[in-house]
Amino acid sequence: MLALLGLALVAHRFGWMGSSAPADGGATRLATTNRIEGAAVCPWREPASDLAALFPGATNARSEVRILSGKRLDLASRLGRQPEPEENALHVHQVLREGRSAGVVLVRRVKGEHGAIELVVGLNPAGTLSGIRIQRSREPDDIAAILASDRVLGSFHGCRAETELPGGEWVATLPAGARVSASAMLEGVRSLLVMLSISETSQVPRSPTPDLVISDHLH
Amino acid sequence: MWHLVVRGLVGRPVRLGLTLLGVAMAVAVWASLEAFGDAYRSGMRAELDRAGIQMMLVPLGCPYDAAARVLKGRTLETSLPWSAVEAARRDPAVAEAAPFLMASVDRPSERRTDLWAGLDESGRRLKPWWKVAKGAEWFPDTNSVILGSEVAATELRSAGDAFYSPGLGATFRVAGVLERSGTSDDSLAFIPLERAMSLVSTNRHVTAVAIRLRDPMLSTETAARLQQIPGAQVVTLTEMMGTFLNLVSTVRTLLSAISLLAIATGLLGVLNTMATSVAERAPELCLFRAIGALPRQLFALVAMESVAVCTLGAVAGLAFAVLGAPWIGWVVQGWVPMAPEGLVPRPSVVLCLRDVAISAVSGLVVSLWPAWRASRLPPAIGGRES
Repeated sequence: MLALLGLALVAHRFGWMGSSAPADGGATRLATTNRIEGAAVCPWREPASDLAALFPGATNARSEVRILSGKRLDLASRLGRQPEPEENALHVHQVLREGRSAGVVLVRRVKGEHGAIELVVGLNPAGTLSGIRIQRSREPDDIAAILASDRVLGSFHGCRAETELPGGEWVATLPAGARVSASAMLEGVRSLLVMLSISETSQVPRSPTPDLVISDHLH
Repeated sequence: MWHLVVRGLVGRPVRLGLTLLGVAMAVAVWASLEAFGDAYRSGMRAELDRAGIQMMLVPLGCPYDAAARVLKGRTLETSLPWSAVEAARRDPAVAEAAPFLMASVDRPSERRTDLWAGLDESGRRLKPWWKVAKGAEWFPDTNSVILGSEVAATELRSAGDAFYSPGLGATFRVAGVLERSGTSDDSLAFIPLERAMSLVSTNRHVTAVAIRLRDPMLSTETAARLQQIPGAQVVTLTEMMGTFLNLVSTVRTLLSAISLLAIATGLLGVLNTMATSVAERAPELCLFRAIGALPRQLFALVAMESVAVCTLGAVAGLAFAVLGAPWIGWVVQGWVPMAPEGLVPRPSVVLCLRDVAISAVSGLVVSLWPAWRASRLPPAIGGRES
């Protein structure tokens, strides 16, 4: 009898015995709240080839999540806009070379003119931007070539803070067809630098155990 | 009596734990298999009901594979000529014949595959879940695209944005974004059928024609007529469901045999445990006899212990089957052909109660011999050994 009673309690807990609450009770309450739509987290699709290009000699990488929801005021102040829902957390991939930090990789999806553009941004241990790769893009070939060129990606090289990034006048020098997407990339990189800078303060909670992204000894 | 039962069980915790584990594992496998069969059947039926169609016209080849691929938003290697669409539309029993053109466009350099679906107004009428979250309900011009919710979220697109396909070499304007439907439509980009045919079909071919009948009772005669269309074959969704269910039923029978073996092993474990327990506790049982316990009371004591072990084991196994149902469903999705979306083989209350009852009765059955032996113990032995 005790066993049956226990089973009935479990069944009630999981709602298989019919709920005494109104059938649409929860749904009705939820429906009155606007759903917060955030963009899906951008995955790091090709870590091996990106590390080989951005951090030659890297042996592995570990990923951690830094929670920035407690820093929304700082974020809004430095970004100059309200943070997006997906900017409440930053996924930081720590790159290691023979056990020592070689830098970090940040990944971000930005809204290009013809579709999403996914950026892989590498920063060295000093926090200087050491390279950017485009892992996915939907731009037509001619525009994609401009965006992937040294003229665009090279402009970010060596920047350490968001204030050192090229400004709107730089975008205006690019061919007209590439300006919207280049501007989106610029804003994406700027946001990442701001988020990384804020995430390096001590009060930011981090995931307790970094996840291994790449196994040891890439090369 | 219950006090004695509990004392008899917890007196040897390791043996009790192992016996419970054996019963629990057997019941968990058994309940999960039963629940999987029920969930698959109802999930399949729900998907087909939601499709709102009775049959599909597909190119020659394996009709079930073709129909399943189209339902799941995948492409076919063969196609139907436009004349097949016209022939289906001319049939007097056909209320709606909706041609679909599915195309997958690969971009190996980015390991990306875009799934495109061309459809016309008739196709939309067969999609009752078609609801637009943002933008227009339908294509304002041939250069428009309506995106499934997943595609829009991944590509950061909303109504009015441009959407370029590197594989097709064409730029579209996003007319609308569909609400999340939980179907394969979430991962598709829909474009007008004519535009799709001009982009991916050289001679006005389509992938399949979904058909809704004026009267579902006319299914057999209509299928026979449509079967005459050159290059096409008909598959009714009832047949398709039957085929899948047969396939799953065969697998289930095989697995049921394994689970029966596990149950038999578990019950033999209980029998062994109870027999050993009676042998070990003979002095104690004889003492009970000596102070006035009747043979039927000792019989009942052993039988109750066995029933308690089997019942507790069944509850533990069912708890595992219930809590592990989402994980089991996730694993099953990977290897069962065309498994319905969101398959969670969670045992129902009725199934749980039935399994507990069967376990309890089985416990009683396997306890008969040890209980009989216990009831036959003479009071004198207890005196001698003590």
